[in-house]
Amino acid sequence: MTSTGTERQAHLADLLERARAGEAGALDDIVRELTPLLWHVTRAQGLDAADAADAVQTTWLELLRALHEIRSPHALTAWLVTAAKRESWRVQRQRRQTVAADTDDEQPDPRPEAAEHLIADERRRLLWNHVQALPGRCRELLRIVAMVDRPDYTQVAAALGMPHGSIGPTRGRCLTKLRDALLADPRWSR
Amino acid sequence: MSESQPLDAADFDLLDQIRDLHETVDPMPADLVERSLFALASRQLAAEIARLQAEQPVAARSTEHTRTLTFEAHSLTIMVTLTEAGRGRLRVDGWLAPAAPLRVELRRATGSQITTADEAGRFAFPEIEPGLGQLLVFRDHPHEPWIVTPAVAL
Repeated sequence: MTSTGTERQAHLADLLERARAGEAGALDDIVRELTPLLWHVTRAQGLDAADAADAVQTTWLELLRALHEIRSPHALTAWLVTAAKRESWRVQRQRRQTVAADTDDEQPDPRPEAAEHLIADERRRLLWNHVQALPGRCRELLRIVAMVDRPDYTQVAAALGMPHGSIGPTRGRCLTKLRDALLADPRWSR
Repeated sequence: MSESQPLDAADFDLLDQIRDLHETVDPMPADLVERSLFALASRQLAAEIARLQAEQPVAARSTEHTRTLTFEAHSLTIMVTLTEAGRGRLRVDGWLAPAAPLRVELRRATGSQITTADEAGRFAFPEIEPGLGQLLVFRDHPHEPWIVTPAVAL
């Protein structure tokens, strides 16, 4: 995964340069590569599927206007994550004007119990349950960071307000909590 | 376990597993890439992006199937009503607010239809095939749209 992540970065850097030079196919390839990340960013903000899909599209339309400002693939990923979050907040603010929604940070992801049935493997289900037991902000952060290629961690982590050291992102509060919880679970450690 | 340590192999392994879980539990819709590509395909830099508002419920006043879509930008609201026009086709009636006689383009995968709104801001595309569509509204420049909408399934 580390080497494929690095290769993907080189590929994205090349695509970004060509897209900035106006090559239409290059921008399309960027959309194919990074739409899954944006889907998970918008869903992690609590948008329903239809709103999330619209927010992803709007983020791409926004990118079209900002392309000339973005110089590196790391900056591209961080820019997209930030823009997709901002777009999700905008949608949520608007939805709250029509529907009285609670803003509880600890609200679980939609249908966590349904999700559990989709995970056949017992160990994976255990990990899923531990992730779901984390505070809302941690679930969101880990979901986004997990979708990002490793070379992008530093800039994306910074964009998400995650602390990072001089070399790269540190483990931080959320991963530490998760690892502590897994260590304390005899079913995980075995 | 210390928070200030750099990420190690076990962290990366957990993150890979979390990624995998989310892709299993909540995969992105199959058509999301296609819709995003369609929305970008015009490569038109618009001054403003109009967002799709929550879809209105089906109108109860008539038996015909009606959908109303509202797109909102800072400077303009575009309302569009879709009605069945027979033989599987749709009629699109639109309204620009504030009203202005502007050129409106409906981009489809198969090409574009162009019309001009009247003084009351009303425009129509009498017969279209169902499928993805994107609206562009032109004001100051003949080639650069003032407003674009995301691509929506019509």
